[in-house]
Amino acid sequence: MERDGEQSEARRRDPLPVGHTVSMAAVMPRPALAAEPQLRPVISFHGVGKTYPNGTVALRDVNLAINQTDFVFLVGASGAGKSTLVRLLIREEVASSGRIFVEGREITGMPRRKLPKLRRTFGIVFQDYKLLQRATVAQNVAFALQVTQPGLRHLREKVEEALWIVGLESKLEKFPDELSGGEQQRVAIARALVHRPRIFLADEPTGNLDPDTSWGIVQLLLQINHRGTTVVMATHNREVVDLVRRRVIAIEGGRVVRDEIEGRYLKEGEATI
Amino acid sequence: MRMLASLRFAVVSAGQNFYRNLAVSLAAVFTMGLILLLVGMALLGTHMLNQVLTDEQARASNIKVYLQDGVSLASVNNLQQQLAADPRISAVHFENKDDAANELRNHDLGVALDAVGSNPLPASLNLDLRRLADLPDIDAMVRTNAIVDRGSKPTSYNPDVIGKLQTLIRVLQIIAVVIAAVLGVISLVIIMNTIRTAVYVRRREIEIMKLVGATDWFVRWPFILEGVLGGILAALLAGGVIAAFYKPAVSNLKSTLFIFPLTYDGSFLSALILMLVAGGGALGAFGSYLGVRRFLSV
Repeated sequence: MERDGEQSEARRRDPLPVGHTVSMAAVMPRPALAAEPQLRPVISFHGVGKTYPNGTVALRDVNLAINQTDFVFLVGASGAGKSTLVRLLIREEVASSGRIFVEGREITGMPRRKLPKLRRTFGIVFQDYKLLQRATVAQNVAFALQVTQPGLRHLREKVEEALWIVGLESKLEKFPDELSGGEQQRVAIARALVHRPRIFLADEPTGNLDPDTSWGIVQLLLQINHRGTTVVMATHNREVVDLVRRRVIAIEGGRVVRDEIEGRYLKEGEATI
Repeated sequence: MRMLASLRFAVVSAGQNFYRNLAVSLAAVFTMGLILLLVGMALLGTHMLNQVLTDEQARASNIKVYLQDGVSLASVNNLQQQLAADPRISAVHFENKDDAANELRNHDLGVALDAVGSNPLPASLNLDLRRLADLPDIDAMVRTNAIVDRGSKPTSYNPDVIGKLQTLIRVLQIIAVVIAAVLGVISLVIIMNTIRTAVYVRRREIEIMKLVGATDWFVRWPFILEGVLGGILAALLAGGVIAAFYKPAVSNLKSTLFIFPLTYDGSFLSALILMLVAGGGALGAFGSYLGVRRFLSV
């Protein structure tokens, strides 16, 4: 279907129309230039620990800094603390010790009333998509904008643009249960993208998907990162991590045990089965 | 502009959610409707009881002070003025012997009166008292007056009947208050749980709203409006049932319980429906507020 001129113009200007073709530039790691101002940490953890009320220690003395241009894989076994780290970032959980900064603001002691603004900094996707089953694809994506920016003009255009980015512009009026798992995750990504977040968090986004579909989702995230959005992806997907070769932060028993710029899922020489 | 847009989103979401979860919404409306029907019936029952008691009290608060035959009109006038000045008495009316006879005739007892031949009935001063409780004192006071009949029955005061009536009124009022309080507490608990179940079904939606950065009030408003909508619908349902059955019930009870002077009170029915609508809306809003609170801690 032909779209209006303004949108077509926006797409012509777009250096990389995401979701349709992927260039190698998007997949290859970019050189790190210390002088670039965008390399200042957008996320930093300083001695962060998290112990749940039942006594389970999920994180111990975590120190890390993530820069604006980073694409980070958080890897580790189930229960290692990856999801806790993501939950601490969006303040779904509160750290038991240490300090966490997001874009220079400390979030550890942030009052509840400021949390909505913090969460609008992020685009978040989960393994189970978290879509509204009784709402259409377009309504699911629009929901994020209606919540964060009520009264926004050109809502429909923005929703269509986000769905075009993830390659689902033809499925606006479908319901989630009419889509495949990969398509549902794309809808979740469109919803996370539509308000143009500066940081994209993905907690096991490929956990329920087959290898081909997983690879499609990761390509999408790489292209989102290429547009200047920080991406943090917690994953178990060894193939994807080893193929992409981006920054890898490995967590074991709640501690950061490895942080490599072009890392692999397992350490060089680590035994596998 | 943003406020207006938020309000519009809340209203549209409330309507959409009500419709999308129609089964749960209707279950909540019917449960609330049933409870409000019970509350409405209890309120109406209390009102009808009050009507009867007020009527009985008004009737019981009358006392006839019988006067001796042949006393001067001046002395009657004097006593009448003395009683009218008493703050406990609201009205004093002189009833002469002929009036007393006519009243008896009005009650179809004229035949008995004609059989006697002359008029044996005494003249009286009929007093209306403000409070039933003052009857014994007034009775004791008038008995000492010289012009009052010294026969076996100087006044119409019957301490047994009045004492029993006063006890009955107190007991019935306590029972009505207890019933209303128990029903009120039960309805609040049931309504809150019903709404909490309706909210529980949609906890995922709340979680998503919170994760994309919605404020607590932005999440709450659609649920609260939906609660108000459900509460009002339930109240209209209950009010409709009560309105349909009130009049037939009154005429039916009137014929079976003829000793109670029951009457249909249309203005109270309107007030009751308004009270149910306001109460239903408030309960719905309060129940939703509490129901959502549990899921807002994300």
